[in-house]
Amino acid sequence: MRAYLEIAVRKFQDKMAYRLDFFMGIVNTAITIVVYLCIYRALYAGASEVDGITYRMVATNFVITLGLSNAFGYNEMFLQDKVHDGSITNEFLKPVSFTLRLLAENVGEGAFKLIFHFLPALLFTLLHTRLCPPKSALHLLAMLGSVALGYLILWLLSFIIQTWSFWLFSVWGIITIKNVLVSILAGTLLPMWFMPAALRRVIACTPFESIYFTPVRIYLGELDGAQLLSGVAVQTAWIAVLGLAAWIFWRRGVKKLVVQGG
Amino acid sequence: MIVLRNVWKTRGGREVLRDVSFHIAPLESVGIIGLNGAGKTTLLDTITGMLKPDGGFIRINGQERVLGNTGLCRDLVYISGARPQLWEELKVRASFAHCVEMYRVDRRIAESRLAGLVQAFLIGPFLERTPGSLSLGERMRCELAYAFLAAPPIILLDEVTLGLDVSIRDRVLRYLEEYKRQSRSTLLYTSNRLSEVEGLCGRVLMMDAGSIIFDGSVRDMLERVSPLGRMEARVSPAIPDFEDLPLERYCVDGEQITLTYDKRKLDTAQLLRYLMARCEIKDVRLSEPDLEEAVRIIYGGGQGWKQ
Repeated sequence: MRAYLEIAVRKFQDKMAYRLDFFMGIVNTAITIVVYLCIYRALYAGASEVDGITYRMVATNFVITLGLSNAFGYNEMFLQDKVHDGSITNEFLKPVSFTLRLLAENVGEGAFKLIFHFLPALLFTLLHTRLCPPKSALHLLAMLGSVALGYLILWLLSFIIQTWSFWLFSVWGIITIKNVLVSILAGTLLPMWFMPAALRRVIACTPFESIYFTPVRIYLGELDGAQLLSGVAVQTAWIAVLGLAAWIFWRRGVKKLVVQGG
Repeated sequence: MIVLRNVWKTRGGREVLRDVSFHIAPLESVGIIGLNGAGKTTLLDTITGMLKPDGGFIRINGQERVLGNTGLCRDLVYISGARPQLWEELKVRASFAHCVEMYRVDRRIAESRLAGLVQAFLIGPFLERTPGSLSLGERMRCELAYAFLAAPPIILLDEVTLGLDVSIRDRVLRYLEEYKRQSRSTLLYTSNRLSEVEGLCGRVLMMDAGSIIFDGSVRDMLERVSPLGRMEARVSPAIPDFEDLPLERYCVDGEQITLTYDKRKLDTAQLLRYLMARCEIKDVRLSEPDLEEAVRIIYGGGQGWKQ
């Protein structure tokens, strides 16, 4: 366990060495927030609420979503690059689980982005925009847990597609499609509240709802008590399903690699 | 304990391992020698699970699967130019820190080990740099330090002195010999230099075209490989009469003489003394069979090279 922690911490420290990346990250995040909030404000056109959803709720949804997707931003071509240049087998010699090590590195990088890109941008946003407060301290805490689960779902989706690079020449296209699907269906661009009812019923059967929307609803208090628990249970169930799929793809890929030589 | 029994491996239609079988006991240090393409690297790749054999059976410490077996991976380290273990994007020092955590080395022991390795391999200036900014030889020194920082029960080194300066190579070999003397790990060492293996390994496996053509002690091999010595000398004024020496053959060309002799009957020092007593030696050169000849000799059943 200590080895994975060490790996995450080193990755975090490594990221700190790049000053320019650090400042550009803050500027980039702040601009994204300002642009989207302007668009939402224009869409509201002075109305205080649309379908019972206030502008502040939409803004809050966007900021939480952005924070999590920010933390998720890492090099999704890592596995493919390693498979292509054959260096993937070298990694198997290290006495740690490759998947957990990858997760640790991504989490370390994500923690860096959250603290040094997202937090400053968030503070900047709070200067000019008022967001909804959490329903209670307990809801805030539950949201943080739910965000971690949402992160795992995103990570597993990405990892599953990355494992396909054992069979496909390039998974870049599929990853791009996945990212577009996530930003549309998980409610990054258009908040889930405004999706057509039929589409929402479909999304409810996919892992997309569990990524950003569940944490947001917990934060706002839309999910409470039994609903909160069932929301988290659905997240956990998706992690189990995706985890199993990831495990199967990973094992098959590794087997193929070792028989053919790497 | 490493056990291989009847291991076969075919790659690209070529048999790269043919019916390889051997046992390596704990703390043994074994040199694997052979020419390019003899199968040395493939052998180590197969032992460490990087390649799956097509036939036969491999056990390390009684376990079959290395890949994904974190416990067994912790018992071994495999250093090869083709399989870097350092993190590409991190400073060497960070990779070492990972190494210490992954191999669960006690921190205080790790610190003193690292200090020793920095001195032995002269890698102090490289610690704050990433492997990408180092030269091939510099990187290899860091990879070697990684191996001996972990110092697991089994260490596999594949042609690690390739690309090292002569003085650094000597340092590395001295470190390895010292490490071997303390016999802390099983050592598998591949090389295409006979001389490196001589000092370092008690036992030699010689490979050719995927087969093991010799498995025995270094002394046995040297006896089989180099019973014949050759001496080239320039002497004056008179060429002595070699009638009373058990020479295999001699050849005289003006001042230049070339003597071929069987070391079991006549040792080199004796021959030199004989010459010095009878004439003035201007120049002398000794030669022994190199690896290529050694492989041929072992194949040919101890024929020895002919002039």
